[in-house]
Amino acid sequence: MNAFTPRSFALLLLVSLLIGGCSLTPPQQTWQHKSHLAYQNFQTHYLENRNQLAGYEFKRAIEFAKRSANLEPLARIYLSECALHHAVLIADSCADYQQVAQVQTTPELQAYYQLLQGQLSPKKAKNLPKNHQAWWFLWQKKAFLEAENALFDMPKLTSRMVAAATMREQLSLDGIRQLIQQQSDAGYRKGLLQWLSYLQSRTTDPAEAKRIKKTLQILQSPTP
Amino acid sequence: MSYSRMKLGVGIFVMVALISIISFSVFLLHEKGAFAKRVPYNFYTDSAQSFQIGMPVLFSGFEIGLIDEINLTNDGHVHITFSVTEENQRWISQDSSLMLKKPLIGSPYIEVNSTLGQLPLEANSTLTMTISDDINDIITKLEPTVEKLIAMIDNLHVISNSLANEEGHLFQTLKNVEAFSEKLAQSDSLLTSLTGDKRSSKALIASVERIQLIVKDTHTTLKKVDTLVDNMSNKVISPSGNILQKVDVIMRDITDKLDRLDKAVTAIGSSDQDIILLREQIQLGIERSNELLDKVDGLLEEPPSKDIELP
Repeated sequence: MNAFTPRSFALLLLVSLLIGGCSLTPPQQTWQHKSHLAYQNFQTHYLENRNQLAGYEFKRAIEFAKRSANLEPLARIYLSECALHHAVLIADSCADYQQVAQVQTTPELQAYYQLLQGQLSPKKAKNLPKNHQAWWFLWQKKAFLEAENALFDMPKLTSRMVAAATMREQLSLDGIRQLIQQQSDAGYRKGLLQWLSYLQSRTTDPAEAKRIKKTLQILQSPTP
Repeated sequence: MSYSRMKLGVGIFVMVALISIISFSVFLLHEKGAFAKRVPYNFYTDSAQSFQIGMPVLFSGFEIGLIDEINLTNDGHVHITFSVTEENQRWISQDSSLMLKKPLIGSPYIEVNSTLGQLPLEANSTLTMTISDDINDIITKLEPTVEKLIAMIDNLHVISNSLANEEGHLFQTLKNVEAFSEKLAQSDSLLTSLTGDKRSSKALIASVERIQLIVKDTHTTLKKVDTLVDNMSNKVISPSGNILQKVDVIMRDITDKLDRLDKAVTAIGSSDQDIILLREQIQLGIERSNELLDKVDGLLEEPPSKDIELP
């Protein structure tokens, strides 16, 4: 007599599914998790130039972050927002971060803030996030080409945009073009328009400048 | 009844009557204040005229005392003494003053003016006296009016004299009018009579003729204006009238639409609470949808992250 009959198989499968199903619990929806999700949405919408949605998600991220007396997540959100402005070549003094930093901050956040404001010293640069340290130290040593290579080795596009904005004067035209292409691929319209304008001002090729001007006109024309 | 008993009865009756009369008299005198202790006061004045012994002293219209004595002093002033009953002494205080009142109708009297609440004045003190003369006051007020009346009468007298004077202006004017009317009655040309000069009358006639010509021109101009108005009424006024009619129709339509709009606004205004409620419900719906989306995101994302990474 065979113990593994279709009936027993079905029963075993049912039991397995039941046990497995019990383990499929959704993750705990903590305020940190919700704040993180909202911030991710904000970042995407902001870079895609969907300002209304970006504003809404940013507000949600702040609301969730304010549920705790620990102000570090709030400081991170404000500083990240400031960094995104910097990445798309919009000047920002990070006033919201400064206000929170008066109460609570970390060496990493403070080093990052100084990087955005162009006030970072080599001593403080050791506190930077690991992915920014390589290009920054090379840039400080005036090894601009190596710094550019280290920049493009960074895995996240937003990190590359922040780094490029910081060392844009030393960035090669090819480097700017490569960054613009990467932003186009990602659909980051906001940064794309700003960087195209910057390239137009940097390029020595009149034809390219003219082409960029036309491109900008088309991109900025209202949708019928 | 024996004579002696009659005499006794009469005697007792007379005694009783006498006692009654005396008692009554005493009672009456007592009530009148004859036995009441009186408090004397003094005042001085320049003339005793209008004062007499027995003149009443009044306070708020009530008689509180009488003048007792009037004497002439060595320096020619008049010293008058009056007294008030002990009961009424409280109305005479240190700041009291006296005024002699001489009304038009009635006898003169002395009026006491006092401030209440003050301590009574000691007996035999001297008060100040002021004399008020109502008749003289009236005469003083009437004097200016009388003087004005007199001046007016004088002027009327002068006017009537000048009017009656044969060599005055009125008579002269009347004479001139008489002479002018005589001339008018005798002369042929009125104008020559008026102006007294033929040349002036000719100039006046020429002016009148010019005025006639101007009137004729004006009449012609008015006729042209009349024609123009007729043309205007055909070409301008009638079309304008049509336009005005159309404007009227449009305005009525606008008014009608505004009425409807007003009703709509009122309806919206009355439903503002509903709108607020709807908004709250929509907001609640959005937040619940967001929670649901967050849960979906959480399921799809692995592993769930808490930290916000810097760009």
